[in-house]
Amino acid sequence: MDGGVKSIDWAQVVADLAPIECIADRALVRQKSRDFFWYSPVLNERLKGVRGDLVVAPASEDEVVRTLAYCHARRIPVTPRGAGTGNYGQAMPLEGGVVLDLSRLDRFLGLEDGVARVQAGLKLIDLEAHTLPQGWELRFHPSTRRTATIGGFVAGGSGGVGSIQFGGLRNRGNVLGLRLVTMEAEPRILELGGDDVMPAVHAYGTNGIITELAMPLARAWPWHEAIVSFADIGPASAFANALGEADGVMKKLIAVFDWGAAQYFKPLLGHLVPRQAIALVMINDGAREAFSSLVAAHGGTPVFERPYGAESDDIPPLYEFTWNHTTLWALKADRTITYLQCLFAGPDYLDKIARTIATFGDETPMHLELTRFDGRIAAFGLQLVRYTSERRLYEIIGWLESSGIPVADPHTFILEDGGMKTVDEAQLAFKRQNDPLGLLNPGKMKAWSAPPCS
Amino acid sequence: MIPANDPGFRAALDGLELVDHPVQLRQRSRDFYWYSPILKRALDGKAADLIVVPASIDEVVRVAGTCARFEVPLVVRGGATGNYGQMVPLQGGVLLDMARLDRTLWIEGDRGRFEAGVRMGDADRLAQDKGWELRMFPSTRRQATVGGFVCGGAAGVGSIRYGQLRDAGSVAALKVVTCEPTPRLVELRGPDIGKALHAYGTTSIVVEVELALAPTYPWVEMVAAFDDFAVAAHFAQALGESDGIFLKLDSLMAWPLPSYFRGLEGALPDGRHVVMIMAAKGNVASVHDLVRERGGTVTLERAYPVEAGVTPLYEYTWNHTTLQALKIDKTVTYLQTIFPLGANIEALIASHERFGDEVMAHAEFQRRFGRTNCSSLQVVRYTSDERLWQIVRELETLGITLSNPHSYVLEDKGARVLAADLQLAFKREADPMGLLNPGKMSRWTAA
Repeated sequence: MDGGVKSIDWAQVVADLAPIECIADRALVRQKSRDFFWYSPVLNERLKGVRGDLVVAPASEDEVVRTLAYCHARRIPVTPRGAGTGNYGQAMPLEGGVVLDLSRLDRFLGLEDGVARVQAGLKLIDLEAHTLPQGWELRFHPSTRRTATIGGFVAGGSGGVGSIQFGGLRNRGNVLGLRLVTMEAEPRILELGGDDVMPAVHAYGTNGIITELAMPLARAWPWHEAIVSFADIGPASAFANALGEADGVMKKLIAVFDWGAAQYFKPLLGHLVPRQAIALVMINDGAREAFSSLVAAHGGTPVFERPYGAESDDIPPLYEFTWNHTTLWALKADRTITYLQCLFAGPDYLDKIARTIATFGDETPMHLELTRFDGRIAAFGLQLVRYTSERRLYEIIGWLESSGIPVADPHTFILEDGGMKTVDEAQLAFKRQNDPLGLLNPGKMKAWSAPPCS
Repeated sequence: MIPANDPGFRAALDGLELVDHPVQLRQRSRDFYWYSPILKRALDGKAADLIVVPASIDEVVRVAGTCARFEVPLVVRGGATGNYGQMVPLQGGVLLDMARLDRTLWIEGDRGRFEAGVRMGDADRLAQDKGWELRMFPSTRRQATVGGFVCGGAAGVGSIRYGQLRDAGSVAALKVVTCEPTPRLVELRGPDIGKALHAYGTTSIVVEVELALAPTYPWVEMVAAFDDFAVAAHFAQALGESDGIFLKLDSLMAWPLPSYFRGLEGALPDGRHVVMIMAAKGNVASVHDLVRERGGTVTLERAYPVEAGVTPLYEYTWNHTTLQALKIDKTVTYLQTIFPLGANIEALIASHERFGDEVMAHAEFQRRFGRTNCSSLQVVRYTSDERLWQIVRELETLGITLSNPHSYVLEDKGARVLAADLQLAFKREADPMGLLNPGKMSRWTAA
């Protein structure tokens, strides 16, 4: 399938935009039009043919402005892209047009009072390479830390490794400032601060192009990685909750897997006890004794530990087995597997987890990521799904939702359906102001594509 | 029992720094128990017979052994900033002043090890030189000692992020000296820390403390003012629950408490309830947004540490709140209460509505079991003991329970039976004659 925009002479576009770097090579454009949508068989069916017509890779904000003004004049859709590590086609150009590759906007602008100012295309790993020597780290990052960009994370992500301390991107205070270019005849550059950043966070770039960010950092701790083995997922979850609630132990990661999920962690298998559930954690080095007592009290057995940052070639950092990397390990072994994203929250959240396991068993091998949510400990369920059909998948989702377990559906590229399923009025209003022709990442924001009132 | 001025006993302590001037004995045997009219009656006049100021752990061992052989009571003194007579000697004897055990042993990684007499403020500054700071400190940071805090304190400035001193991981180790004819040095780690933590020195003599540290942040002090108490209370809770806002202090004071505070003129508008905040500098704008959302006004914003001569905001919080009120009105006293997790704000508002100015609400928000709760150090317009206990009973009907600050008895500070049993068992081993801080552990006294 060709890109969606006909009657455009793309060679002329390349010439007009010069000296802005453009890629017209079909294979490269296709590659840069894709993300990890193929985790989902549903999205795989729907998105596998999607490709843009041209990749434009500006090297400065001026070049972003020029590109947007040019595309606006010619009504060319523009879909921004970081590193393409999303899982729901966030950065995929449904209607073709220009893929705006922001990875060359990769400057680290400064660090002051624990706030980093960076360009959107800076990779998370490179951001931390600047800040760690000064004793600061990201508050949280996705498991794709080594590849993802900060702009892509803020525009398409939600939380990750560190959310057990700081919650997610939706929480006030976790994104401090954004510089945004609008999609208009004369693009404006907006400087957003405080709560004003919210309409552009996790908006898939539908209401403006993020070029710069002010991110609050956390002081870096000496972290320690550990894997603890448990007879069953029940005690493993109880342990994870207790660790989450242990205010004297700092943690950056608490992930729990039953054997159905852990069996796919090939590099770890030499350390794991077959048929047992595991918890993967990162705790502060100074709390190792307190941690050991807690492990013993919950009947766990430590099977692996090492200082964070001391990974070998054999075993990557433990966070690369968690969050959305878990599904990737499973998919490497079994292409029929997919996954879910749900929230186990509230005072009975451990019961909700137990009921889900009792209902679906090995059809949905359990994977939990503990997080702070509204000031409390909760767990995201990213359970694997042994996929049989779309119908069965939505039966499972239906059961979860009717059991008080909200699902952020990872099998849709629609912004709202992947989240709270309600129209975010502020996000929509912001799009009306900044992208009146609806050219930015078209087809993703349902409230725009199909206004509810009309 | 041999009196501490017995010549044989004195001879056994030859070469140690001893103080026996009656004025010194009286002054240095006191803490801030006089916040409580009840403790004032009970403890005024109590004093040690002899003060010993050891310069090393060896000297502590010598004093402990000597007291054991002569059966002389021994009470340990840190900065004497407690509020319940934790270190007031009920039966005379030796007061062991730890002021000269003030060496910082090491600060490495995310921990630091200190001799018991190191002042909290000094420990904090030394850690800060290496990029770390104390996870929590009492409002008496400038005077209190590390040993005194772990023996007599529970939480403080920083607890909104790092929880309680008794939470596993807060204190890494305690080195203690037993009170026996041949004293032993014992290193307590892990769950064993509970044998001496918050035991008022009744179970052993804490000589070294290994504390978990926190990385330093650039902090900003802020005050937010609100017209309505309920709105202020909900704001303080919401602030504590804001996972993206990094805090060190979240303290709520109902009007007219702010009317007692000197040195914050302009930041404390008449008739308004205030929340005192320390937030990481990067999150100041986020605090402003939350204040605005809740209809409050930011009345103070300044860098911490404050300039020389300026009272830091934390010296209006925790147990300093009552002190600031007492400076203006000698008739007030206070309560110390624990709130029901998950229903703390409702209880706080109900108590404010029921008692008005008689019980001025003061809540310190802190992490408990991973969630934001508060404890309260209400300032009370004292009229009589009967009325005070009536207030306590009425608070209990609202789910608010007393951690009695009008008692010097260890077990009256909230029922933590497991810790109390552990401490009693350890005291039998480490202080078989019951010489350490006698009269404070009711379980021992009863047994």
